[in-house]
Amino acid sequence: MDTTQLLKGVLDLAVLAVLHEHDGYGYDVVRRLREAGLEDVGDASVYGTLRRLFQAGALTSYVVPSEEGPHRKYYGLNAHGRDVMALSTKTWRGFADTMDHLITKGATA
Amino acid sequence: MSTETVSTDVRDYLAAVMRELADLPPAERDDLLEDLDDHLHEVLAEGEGSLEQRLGPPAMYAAELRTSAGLASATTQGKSTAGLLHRTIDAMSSSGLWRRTAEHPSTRATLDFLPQLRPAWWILRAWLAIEFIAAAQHLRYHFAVGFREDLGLLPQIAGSRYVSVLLLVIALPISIAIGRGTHRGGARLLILVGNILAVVMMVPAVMALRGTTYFETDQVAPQEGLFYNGRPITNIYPYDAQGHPLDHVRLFDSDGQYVTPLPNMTVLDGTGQGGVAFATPTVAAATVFPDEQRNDFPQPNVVTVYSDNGTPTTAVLPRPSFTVAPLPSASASPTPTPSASPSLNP
Repeated sequence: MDTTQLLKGVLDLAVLAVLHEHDGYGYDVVRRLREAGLEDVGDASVYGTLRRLFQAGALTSYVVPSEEGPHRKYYGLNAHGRDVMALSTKTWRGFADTMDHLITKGATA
Repeated sequence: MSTETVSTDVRDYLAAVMRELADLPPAERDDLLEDLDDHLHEVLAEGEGSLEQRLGPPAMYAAELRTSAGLASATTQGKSTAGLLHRTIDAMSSSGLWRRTAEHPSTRATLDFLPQLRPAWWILRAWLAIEFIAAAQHLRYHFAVGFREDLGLLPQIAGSRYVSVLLLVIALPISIAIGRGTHRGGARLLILVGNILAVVMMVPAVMALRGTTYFETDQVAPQEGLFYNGRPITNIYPYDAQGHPLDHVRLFDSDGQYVTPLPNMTVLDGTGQGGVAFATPTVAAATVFPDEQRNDFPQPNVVTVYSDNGTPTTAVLPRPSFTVAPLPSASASPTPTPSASPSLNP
């Protein structure tokens, strides 16, 4: 099964979850998603998602100067972002349970 | 990999992505690409292949960025006006209310109907071309007076309305032929410029149809004479502080110039029926008195009375009687004498 198709629906929640853990800049979020097992995640998708979540008012952003290399734009969850994440988590759990149930029933039938 | 190759690679990739997003509003595109430069450097720094190998072709990157950021896709719907309209609606539809309006069947139906109105535009622009020729004919005159006189459904060209009929008969098939044909390059640009001119011409042409002069309001010629709140003043009756009428008062403005009323103000009565016209001061006052004497207030109040057979006779009317109350301070202090007299203009 093509995971990129599945990813599309849940990338928002995945990005929110990573940032809920701790704040991060764009490429850091990409890396952490891949380390967590979402290897197929596209760089551009993550950057685009960050931009959209930021514009929807779910994220705060701040620039962290670095000694070597460029200044980095960090993103973090704000109150609205935590609400969105809580709601998305609930939706995901319900959906995953339904799918689990469906698959289990199909397998045992 | 040298730093120079890195920056060239990054620059090329960045430029290619930017081109793909060229249709976005600049602010939105800049937001979207804000982190891209750093991102590309970072990917290259990992040393696991070129940018294309790691991220795919720039076009794909741009498309992915666009979709995931929730922006409208740049699917080309042709470069026709209707296509542009659809794309604009699509771009606007990313926000809630707009989406519902734009996706409403009646909106789509209206957009699909618009191309059917093109023949009407071809006819309209042929007429506008004629109006344009008529307007260009007396351009200087028109800007002073307005377009009412020479524009209209069939304007005067070279002094005749038949010329405009003839030109219209020629312009109509040309306009339709241009509309039905397909054009590219320079011809296309030329037609665009012509269409814009026609749209601009629509304003004075339609105004002229409605009988309204359009350019008059913002190109008012400086008016001669004295005005108070837009009303012409034909005479001035000075009074001193005690309320006594004064004779032979001369008025000057801040530049030392004479202040004189309208040189020849003839006010006819509304109907012309009673045969009485009031002219204050009359033509006689303007022609007989030189400027110095006209700057002598109050001026003789001359009225021209026309008899039934139209012969004018002039009469000097008595000074209108005002009751002017003395100023509250007038009794306390004597009338001040001006310390400096204004310098007279020759």
